[in-house]
Amino acid sequence: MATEGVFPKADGDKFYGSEINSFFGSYADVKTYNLAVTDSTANVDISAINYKYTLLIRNIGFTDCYFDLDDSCATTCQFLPAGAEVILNNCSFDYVSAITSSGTTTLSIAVFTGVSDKIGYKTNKEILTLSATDASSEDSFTDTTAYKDILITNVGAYEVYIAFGATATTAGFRLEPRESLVVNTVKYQIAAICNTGETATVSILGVY
Amino acid sequence: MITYKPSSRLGALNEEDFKSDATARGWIVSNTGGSTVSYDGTNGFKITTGLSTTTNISLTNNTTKFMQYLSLYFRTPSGSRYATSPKIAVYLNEVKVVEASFDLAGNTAYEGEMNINIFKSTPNDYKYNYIVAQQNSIVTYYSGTVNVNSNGTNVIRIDFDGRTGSDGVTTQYWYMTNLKWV
Repeated sequence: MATEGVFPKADGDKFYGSEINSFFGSYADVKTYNLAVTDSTANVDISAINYKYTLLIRNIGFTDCYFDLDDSCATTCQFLPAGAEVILNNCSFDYVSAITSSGTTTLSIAVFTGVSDKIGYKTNKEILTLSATDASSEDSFTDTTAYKDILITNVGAYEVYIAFGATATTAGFRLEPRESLVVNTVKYQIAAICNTGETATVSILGVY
Repeated sequence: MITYKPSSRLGALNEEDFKSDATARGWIVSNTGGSTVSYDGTNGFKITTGLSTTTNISLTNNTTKFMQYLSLYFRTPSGSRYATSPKIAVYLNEVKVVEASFDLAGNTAYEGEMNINIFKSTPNDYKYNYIVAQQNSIVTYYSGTVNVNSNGTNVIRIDFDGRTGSDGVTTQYWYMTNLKWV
């Protein structure tokens, strides 16, 4: 029998109320914040909020930025382009931090809460930064066993091809600059490759 | 589960950059004539009065952004007359990719609009061949390749060359709006 908040489910497993509520976007409360982001790390403290289910982070400004969870932020953290939005479900983090390379922007943050505590929150994260070239390169999460919600974003400047747990080739999943891919998988090694003579930076967030 | 939504805007640098404080957003205004450039809160860059045929204004921005699509909109003053045809040229990394001018040889009072669209096809190749120019405009197409610096600085420069108002009239102006850039 599957544990509450843990995916993937197998045939015959049951879904919990918290999972269904999250799936349909039914929440008891929504706490909202704005985070002013500069070239120095800044954070929003959401540690006092009970029963956190879902975290929404949207870059509402005109400058790209980077964000992190429960740590101070650096420009090696997860890339979030201007205008983009990421939603993390079934997770419980205490801080959202962000930084720009230069200039300023604003993050709108919403924390969606449930009616009671539950198990199965994702409270761990790892962020990888992969420098892709025209030869396959890879990076791995420290945790090699848990299924993770993974967000992969091509920071640019060229397209990259992504592979999971294998050597990357240009037959892999193609991401244009500033495009993203989300997946839940137990694969812990992510590889990337560019076209001949090109390079790109790939930003990878794993939540588990 | 993670859900990701890309920007609904066309890019980090969009028309709002022209409608607000463009200088703060990295645009460098170089003015070799007696005209002024201001930032109209509604219409964007407002280039006012004083341009002669030898006057040139450059708007330059350095960016590490990946330029995939560039759209520009220009509008000339309403009811103006020109002794020469004003021109607009767009450079990417100092390579001229398009030049457009208004055909005003008849010196008839009219206004013009231009839309310029530049599409990027493959990583190092810009195609300049989709340009929509309206109302009495002449467009020169340039083909070729612009090298895009993947990790360094890329430059877009927009040059205005020509008068902003009819002879003796100093209250006319250009607008440049609707810059969209991915």
